[in-house]
Amino acid sequence: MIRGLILLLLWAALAARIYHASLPLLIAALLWALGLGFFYWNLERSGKPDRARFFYFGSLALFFLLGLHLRGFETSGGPSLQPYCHLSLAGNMLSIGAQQVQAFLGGTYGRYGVLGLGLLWLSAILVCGGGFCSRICFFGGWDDAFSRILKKPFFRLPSALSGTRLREFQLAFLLFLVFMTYSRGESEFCLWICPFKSPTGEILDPASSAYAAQRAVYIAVAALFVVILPLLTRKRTFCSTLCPFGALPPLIQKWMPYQVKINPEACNSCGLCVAQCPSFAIETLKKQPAQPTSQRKDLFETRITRYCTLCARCLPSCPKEAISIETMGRKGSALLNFISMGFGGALSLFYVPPAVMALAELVKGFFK
Amino acid sequence: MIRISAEGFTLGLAMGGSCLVTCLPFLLPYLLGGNVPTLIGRTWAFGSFLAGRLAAYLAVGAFSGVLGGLLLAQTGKGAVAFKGCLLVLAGTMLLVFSIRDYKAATGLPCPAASLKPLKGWPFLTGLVLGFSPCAPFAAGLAKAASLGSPVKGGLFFLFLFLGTTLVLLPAPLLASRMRSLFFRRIGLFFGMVAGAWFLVEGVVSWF
Repeated sequence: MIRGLILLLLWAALAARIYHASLPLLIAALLWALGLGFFYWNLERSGKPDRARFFYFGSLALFFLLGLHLRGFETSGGPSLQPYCHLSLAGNMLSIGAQQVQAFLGGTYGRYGVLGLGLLWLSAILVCGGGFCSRICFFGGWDDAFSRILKKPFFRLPSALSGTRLREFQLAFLLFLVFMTYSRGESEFCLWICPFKSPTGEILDPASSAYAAQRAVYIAVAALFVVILPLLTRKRTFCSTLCPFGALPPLIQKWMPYQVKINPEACNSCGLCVAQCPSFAIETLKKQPAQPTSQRKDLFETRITRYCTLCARCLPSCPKEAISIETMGRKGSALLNFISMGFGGALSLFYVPPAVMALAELVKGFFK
Repeated sequence: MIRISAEGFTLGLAMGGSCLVTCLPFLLPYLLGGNVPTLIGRTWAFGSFLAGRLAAYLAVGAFSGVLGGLLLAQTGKGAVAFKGCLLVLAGTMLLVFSIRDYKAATGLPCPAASLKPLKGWPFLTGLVLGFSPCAPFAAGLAKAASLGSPVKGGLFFLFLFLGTTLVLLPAPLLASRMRSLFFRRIGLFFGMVAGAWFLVEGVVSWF
């Protein structure tokens, strides 16, 4: 209760600070703050944390893309500050760092804006770890949503293309993007891969000879990795393989205070959680038993890897109730919920109210 | 001769950073992946790559010195298509190398595992890359073409090569610290992404 009130006050104060010049936006922001309060209450009280989390997470994705598509950020009179896309930032980090060094050496510090936002995203990872990917990112809700539509996967990915090694592909992909972006001087991910500009496509240069190829590639990525594969495999395939930012949280997740843990005494390595995990974060390893045995529990060990996004989808899947979210060794996710919703909710105040206003304008125009 | 050498070397030093980020995507899979976990093995792969690059640079230097200004006139679609061919070749080599070694690195079945690897793939990749027009290459080409002599052109490009190579030297030493299977898989995945990317980019440049 107290934590919820603290968050509500913080959100309301931030809304007033951002939108004090515009009454409609301020009202929209305060209403959204109340909505965030409801999401938080639902997350804390619900016996189905994954479903409660997704309710909120999916809303973020919906409103952000709505705002982006309707140009709510530019036309609604909201603040000009938009979240600088963290997907792009991950691939640009070397370029931005080099530019900042040059700016510093040249006595001009004009890149502070980009650097400041970069530090914002870094802070998000440092406080939430892998939880960023299932509780803060305003893109991840899409493939998360499509991965929930079917009750069972239509097909399973072959073993060569699944498991935690697929997450290693993501890190290699990020490294490649960093080098290519720096050497070419343009954001290769944004130009070629980013599926979330499909509604807008505004950053491509139609005069470029590669324009048709770029459009084909990013539309194919959107269709395959955000919609089709998540739908058919029940896995978050874009977030787990191609998202450049998604390669970063796993680098520090093992040091975070919140972890999803499996009780080895209760677990019998049935593999149900491995199938449920949308992020390829759970693996089953063979053990060397001290004595010959046919018990699966003694032959295999199931463990949560650093690629866990703390989505909690595995929790209800375990028939032995062997999985739980722990905070500093004790069962419970209160701290994770508080910090992730505090951070994510604050961030959402920048893009949800303008999106709501843009949508209202659209509806109003439709009925005129 | 000393002045030509000094000019080539200093141009190479100035462009070294650009060379590093251009060459590393091609070099990294050979340094991290493959069955060369020791420092000597990685140094051999690195040395082969540099030898290929050197051979290409010397050839270009001598060639541009002979033809002079004629080469400077060859710009636009011809140069782009040529670069596209080189990218397709280098990309294909990277892709095949990485996929083939994936089985060894991950213990998983792979249809390309039965392919016999060409000995000297790092050399070939360096050779292909050495012919690929990039920033130091273009700058060097303009200068070498003005020298009007294959010896002077070759000498200029030799020292350009040395200047650009300086920043690449720590690569095998750093890679030798990354011996675990995790880094090997990273290197191979990197090679697959790089190979596929350059292959597509090369094909797109033809149109």
